[in-house]
Amino acid sequence: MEGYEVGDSIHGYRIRAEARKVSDPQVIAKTGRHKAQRLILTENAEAIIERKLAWIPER
Amino acid sequence: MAQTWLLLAPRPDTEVQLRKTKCDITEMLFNLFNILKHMMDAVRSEGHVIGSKVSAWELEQVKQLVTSGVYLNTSDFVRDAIRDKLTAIKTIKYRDVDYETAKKEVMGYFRERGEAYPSEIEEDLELDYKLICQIVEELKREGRLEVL
Repeated sequence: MEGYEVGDSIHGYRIRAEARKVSDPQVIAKTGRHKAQRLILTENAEAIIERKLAWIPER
Repeated sequence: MAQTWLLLAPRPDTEVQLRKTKCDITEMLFNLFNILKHMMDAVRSEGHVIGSKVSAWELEQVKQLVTSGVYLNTSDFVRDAIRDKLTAIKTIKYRDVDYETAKKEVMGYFRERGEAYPSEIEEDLELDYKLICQIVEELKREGRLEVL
């Protein structure tokens, strides 16, 4: 699935992203203990959800 | 240096003198090598001056940091900022490898590591991310990889 529209979002444990310009991270306080960091990617920005892969040994 | 040249004068009367001359030649070559090495180091470590325009507000902030003693002077601040930026930006250069070779390398990587994220493979093997994704999909279809 590929999304190009305004408002399309992805959510995952690990997201690999690339772009021409990347902003410095900014801490955003969501709720009391819930803090996160925000980055803005501009120009040809692309992001993909990654999962850890494991090798299955041959039997 | 002049002494060395005098020792090189052709007067090997005895075997001892001849041996001494040989030792002096070796020493002279060694010294010459060291001098050249120092000259090369000096050329390499020679500083270069670069000019850059900054806004009055930025310059004022830098000057405040210098006044407060965080940096020795404006140049010290600029040098430190350049070093920080160069350390922060790590460049990955993709290698031009055909699909089959890349697949073998990815398989070898997984055999050695056991588990990994595609972006780790990208960084370590210096391969194009999209190519890695294709290979990973194929390996999953072949039943050689599983998602954790």
